[in-house]
Amino acid sequence: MNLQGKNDVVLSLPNDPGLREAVGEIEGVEIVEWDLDGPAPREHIDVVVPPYWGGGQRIAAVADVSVRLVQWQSIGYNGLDKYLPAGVPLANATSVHEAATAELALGLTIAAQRGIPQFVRDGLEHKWELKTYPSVADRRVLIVGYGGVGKAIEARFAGFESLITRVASTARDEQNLAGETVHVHGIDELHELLADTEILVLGLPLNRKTHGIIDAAALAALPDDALVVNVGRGPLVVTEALVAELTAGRLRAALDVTDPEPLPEDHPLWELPNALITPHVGGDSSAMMPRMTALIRRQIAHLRAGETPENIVLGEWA
Amino acid sequence: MGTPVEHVVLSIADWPGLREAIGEMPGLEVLEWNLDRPAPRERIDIVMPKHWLGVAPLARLAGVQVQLLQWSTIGFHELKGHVPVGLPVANAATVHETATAEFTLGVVIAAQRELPRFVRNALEGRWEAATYPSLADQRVLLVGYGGVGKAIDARFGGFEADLTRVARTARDERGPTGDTIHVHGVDELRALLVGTDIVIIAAPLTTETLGLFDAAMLAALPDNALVVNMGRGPIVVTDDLLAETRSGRLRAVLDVTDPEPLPRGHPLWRLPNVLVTPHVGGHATSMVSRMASLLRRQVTKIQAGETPENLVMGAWPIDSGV
Repeated sequence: MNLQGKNDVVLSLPNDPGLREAVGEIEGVEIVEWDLDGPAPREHIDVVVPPYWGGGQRIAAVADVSVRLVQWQSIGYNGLDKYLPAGVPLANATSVHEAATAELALGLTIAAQRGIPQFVRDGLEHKWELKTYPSVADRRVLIVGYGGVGKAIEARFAGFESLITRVASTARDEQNLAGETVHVHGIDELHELLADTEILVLGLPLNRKTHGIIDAAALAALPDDALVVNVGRGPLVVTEALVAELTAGRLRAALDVTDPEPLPEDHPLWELPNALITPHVGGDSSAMMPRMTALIRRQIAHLRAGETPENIVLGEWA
Repeated sequence: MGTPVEHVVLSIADWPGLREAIGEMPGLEVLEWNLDRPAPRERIDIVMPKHWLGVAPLARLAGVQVQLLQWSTIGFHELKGHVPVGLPVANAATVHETATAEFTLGVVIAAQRELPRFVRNALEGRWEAATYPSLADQRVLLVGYGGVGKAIDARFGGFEADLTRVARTARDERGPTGDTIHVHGVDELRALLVGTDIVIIAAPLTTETLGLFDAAMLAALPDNALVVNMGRGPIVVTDDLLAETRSGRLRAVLDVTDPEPLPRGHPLWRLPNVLVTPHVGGHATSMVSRMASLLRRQVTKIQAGETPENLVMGAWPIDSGV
């Protein structure tokens, strides 16, 4: 028996509020704290979980230790390849944030459609003023991005009597979360589809192909009064082009992500009553911790079973 | 059965888009009448006023030959004493469930994920993230399982929440996906509230629901629970809710209030953990096409001498001596 008992796995967790408590004790796992901004607590760490907040540059620190897996806490991992030491496998947080992100997408959509921001502002003046707003029911909704988040958004739209169309990088038929075979249009059809869209929901990852995909021409393709909802990444949308359409009062927007981010205090988006802004809280809610904990536990079980971990998006699993 | 009517006269209040949505039907004549002036005809088979003008204009119905008053909301308790005795009244079931249920999900998510806070922060250009409760994983208690309750249930399907239903009487019935679901009786309400994170009131106002959510019921809820009232204001005892929200122990979303409209200066307006919306749950563009469909069905029934849908007051057919 070695002095550390029967522990066969070392897991490092960041000092994120609540995470250590949520993970609890896992039999045979030694849990150490590491924020990746100081010296590594061990020479070998099987699974390193970097902080949720604080940017990707910190993961360069894993070069100082022998690591089997870096478990990132977000779904998006754009830009991490610059910092991640060559060959280190990194898993993203697919399965952790879809529920929270998709429910926020629906919340933003319903709030924007039904005038909830205006009622909040009216409330500050004690003003009870009935107005008729567009429903979500009967609207033609285009979900752009049909990965985990896009599918979770679709599943939540199911009961709302809206007409759902899906677009992703490549046209295909596939199963939705309800087990139905649905058609996913290819991104080459985007502009054509936008012309017939009343609510555009962006839930796609940021990469070279999607950067600025919603530019002035794409926005111009949308009919008057259409709503643009972004729960993906800010740079999917060309901010100046969106601001121009919102300032003109032609389109409306509900944005959980922006470019730049955080949105500076004097940014014109803040001023627009037809823009609802939330500060990138899509994946951040009480739903995150139990799902993150479950993913960490599953990854450790995969390592012990000699299986490939879930969600590897960078590096090679040897 | 009534007598078939070949030529049906329908009066509608001036709802944007409603006249166009009704379209043309053989034997149907449509008038616009807001009940703000004497009736344009002696006989109007179906009168559809606007609920948001209140009940006072209904006095104009006196002396008019009316077969059916088509009210424009689902709730109708406010009509008592304001419509001619015996006049058949249909409520607007099928018109507002869609809008009310989607609004309910909207305000529940908004309250859980703190959208009102972010709207206020935007006024100061402030980007300030924090972790807030999701809707996923929450224990939701739906009080009232009529049309609105069922429509809310149907929309909860995808949200990974744990939904429990309560209505006047305990029963098993088919849920929105066709599965058999259990509906608890209201006698279990207090016990159920103890294990509830979000309670949604979607019940009508009756002698049984008046003041149902009083201090004792609210006290049964755990700390930080959210109370959502989509039913009628007097189902909740305002002062008791005010005490629980003012102390910060509970949160609330109120689409209906008591009194209503909520007067300027009312303390509920001042609480950041209370979102007040001006009774707009059922009020959205979706109601226009659904109201038009209901009116067309009512016209068809009256033309055929059949009993209209949704009768909630009076007896069909009306005594022709009126």
